[in-house]
Amino acid sequence: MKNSLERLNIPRLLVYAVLLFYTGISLLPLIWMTSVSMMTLGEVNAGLVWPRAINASPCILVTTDEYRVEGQTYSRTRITISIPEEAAAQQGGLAARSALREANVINRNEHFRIPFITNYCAAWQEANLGRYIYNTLRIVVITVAGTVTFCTLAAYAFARIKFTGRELLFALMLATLMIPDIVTDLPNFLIVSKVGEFFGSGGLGWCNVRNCWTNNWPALTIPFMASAISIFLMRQHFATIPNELWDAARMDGAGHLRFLLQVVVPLSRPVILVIVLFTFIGSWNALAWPLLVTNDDSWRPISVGLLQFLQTEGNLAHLRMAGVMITLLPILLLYALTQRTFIEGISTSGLKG
Amino acid sequence: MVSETISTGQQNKDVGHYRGFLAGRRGRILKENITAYLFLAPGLVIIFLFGMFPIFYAGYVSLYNWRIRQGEYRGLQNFTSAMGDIAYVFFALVILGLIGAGLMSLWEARTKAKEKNIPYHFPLLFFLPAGLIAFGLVQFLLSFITFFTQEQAIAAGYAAKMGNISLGIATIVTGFMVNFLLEQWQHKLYAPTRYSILPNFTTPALIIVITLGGAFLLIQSVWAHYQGLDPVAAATAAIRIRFLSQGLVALVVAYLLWSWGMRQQSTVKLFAGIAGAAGLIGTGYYLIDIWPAIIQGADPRFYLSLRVTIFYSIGTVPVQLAIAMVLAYLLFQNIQGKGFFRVVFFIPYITPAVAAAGIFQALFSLRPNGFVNSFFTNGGANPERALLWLKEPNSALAVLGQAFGIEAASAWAIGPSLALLVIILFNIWNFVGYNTVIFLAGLGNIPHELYEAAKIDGAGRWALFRHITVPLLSPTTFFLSVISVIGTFKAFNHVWVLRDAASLGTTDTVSVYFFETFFRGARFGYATAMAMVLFVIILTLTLVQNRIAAKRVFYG
Repeated sequence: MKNSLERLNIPRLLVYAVLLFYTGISLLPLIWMTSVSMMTLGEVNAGLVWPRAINASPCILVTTDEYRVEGQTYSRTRITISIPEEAAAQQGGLAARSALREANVINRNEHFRIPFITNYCAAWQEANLGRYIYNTLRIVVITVAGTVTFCTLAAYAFARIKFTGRELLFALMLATLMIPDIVTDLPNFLIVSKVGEFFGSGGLGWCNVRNCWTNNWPALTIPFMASAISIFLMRQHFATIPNELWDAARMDGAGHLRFLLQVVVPLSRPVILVIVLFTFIGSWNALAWPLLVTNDDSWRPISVGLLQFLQTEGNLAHLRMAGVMITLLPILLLYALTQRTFIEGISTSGLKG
Repeated sequence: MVSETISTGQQNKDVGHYRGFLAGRRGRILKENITAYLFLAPGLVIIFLFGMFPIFYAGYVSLYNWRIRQGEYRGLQNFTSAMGDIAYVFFALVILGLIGAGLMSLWEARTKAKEKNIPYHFPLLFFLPAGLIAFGLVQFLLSFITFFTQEQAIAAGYAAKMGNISLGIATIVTGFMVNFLLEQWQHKLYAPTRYSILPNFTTPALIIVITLGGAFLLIQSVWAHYQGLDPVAAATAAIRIRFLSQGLVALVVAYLLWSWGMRQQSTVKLFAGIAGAAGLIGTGYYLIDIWPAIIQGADPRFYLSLRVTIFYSIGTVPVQLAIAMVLAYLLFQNIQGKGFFRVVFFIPYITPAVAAAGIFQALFSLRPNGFVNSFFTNGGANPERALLWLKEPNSALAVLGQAFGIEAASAWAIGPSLALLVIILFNIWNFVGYNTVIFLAGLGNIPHELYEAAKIDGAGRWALFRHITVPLLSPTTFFLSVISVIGTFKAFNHVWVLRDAASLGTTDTVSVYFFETFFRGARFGYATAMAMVLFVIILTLTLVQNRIAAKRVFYG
């Protein structure tokens, strides 16, 4: 790495100090969130920075208990949530119930304990996060399949086929980039309801409800199945594929579709990966649009679910942070696995995710 | 093209006896066209239906009293009740912009033809296909819009609409065919060689037809709306419009005078500059003075949201760009762990907005021992008066001053509210990583030789940063600042999570207020009127950015 700036001699220590300081700022909210998500309500209210020792923390226990109920002794191996007593009193709900069960235990054989994850279980259960994550994954899969198919086809046509009106259509397509989502949300809501009614029981009768689209997958996925920026990125990449390949393929009798599938797509894996990633993140983050077109949990995605949870669990910071943690984790994992593609995708395209 | 002509002979040999419709060069071009349009169809239908058509639809909805269902026609009343009488000035600016765009496209087509040194005759003829296409487009859009406004899904109604829609499409296709014939004709007449590219006047002609038509319709409806007002309202509106226009014209004149004066060398500079500056200050005061009268009768929350957006932009953009530039500069040094820092700085940007906003909501809790509040208490603030953060509608300056016992601070009731300050901090935290990555890409484009040369001339590190890095990075800075300002106008997710009823709307940016009116208030017509205003603002910013970037970008 020969870099001319190297000889600028900004004191090394100062550089590292500034960078580490900002690393701290970047990570502080996340670290704090992780810490709070493992506390009991008592610990949160006491304003602790870090949860207390493992033994005092709520944990998941695998135990064999002996009960005495009405003079008889039972033995049972089970998984329980254990919460320290002072915390249990404040916690209510789940914790109180578990504390009640503890009362009859006369002998306990502890096999092993998983500390710190009770909040996650509670948040998962109370926020119905499993349902929302499942919904989001369904939405993502449909959207990504549509995006990759439609955008690849369109980008190929723009990049490698000469046809009448190519420049005009391309310019028109790029013009849609200037139209912000927030402006199109309302008319799109009306459009989607009308299209849904058109296909619904009152119109063509493709489904047996009045509106096929809203509160169902089409409203959540079809509008996002093609985007000008994806087509643009792919087109730029397809245009760099040498013409000789096309000539050779045509000599061998391949048509456009065959050339696209067998030559262009394998050569363009990185750019397709970038588009898949951004579509995934986009679906995971979508808030305004799903708020508009969903009215129950059947297709509601994670952002809306988490927002509802944040609003209903007003005072229970530890549960809220646990919910946040669960929502964050998949994205952070994805980022950890693909960070190079990710950052390069952004810095080459200037894409604002 | 060349490879096509080469292989034509071969193709003819292959098919030999068969000379059908799809044979030969013409047939292959047709086949290519069909393939291309089949490939494009799904993607472009989605993009145009959900990305472009909504703007026209929004324009239609904004003219009605539309609450979930379409109500009676209100003309431009949604706009005037949101913005007040300033709406007329707004429309005047939009009309001027449209006409300017039309003229500019014509001029560009002309210079293009001149540059290529191709004689262009009968360019006016191209207004024929342009007119046909424009007419077809209007027909198509209107019937398409009414297709989506129909109350009941009745088969007969759909059939009639389909008829109108296909009529529109047929007109457009005819327009394109006329255009094609004209081009062929010109091709034969003027093309020096077979492959030369002729200037196509249809596109600018189309833009001109559409913009002039739009401007005409807009003028007509503004005039009709103005005529429809009762005499007293019309008279007061006229007076306000006159005052406002006087102020704006004076402002522009003073600015021109001032900037002209700055460019002069002699004593003229001094006098022109002083006069210009005085004019600017004077008209500024004048506008501030008449402002309450101008926005009388307007929606106060709309103006509050505009003010909030401006505070939000001013609070976020310079700070996040400055931090990002410094970080990028430091990361660009030859240091260990560059990749690590880049990855970590980027984490806030990829965290889902709702989750990250949820964390900030908890960090800035109003409890005395909440995370941020405990810092303040330890730092000497009065623990009895814990800050309310997201629930605090009062000015951040005043509240923070009081927290540290400066009693005079209660008079500083200006600037963003404390609640908005939290959102500003969130935005900075969130976007620094993104800006850093783009700055890094920009730094990579600065040629090393410049640094070497400057160092030979004895420049210190501050001089290098100030006189090489900052100016050569300016295209990136400019791009990022415009993108970020546009971003503040579009900002939604995190603001929606962090907003609190107790902050009394002091955190609602334009987009959030729009969504609130639409989603909670179900006032669709009114909300789309605001969305159209928002759209014009964002579009203007984008166009200005494109225009300046085209002039100033430096591809070292």
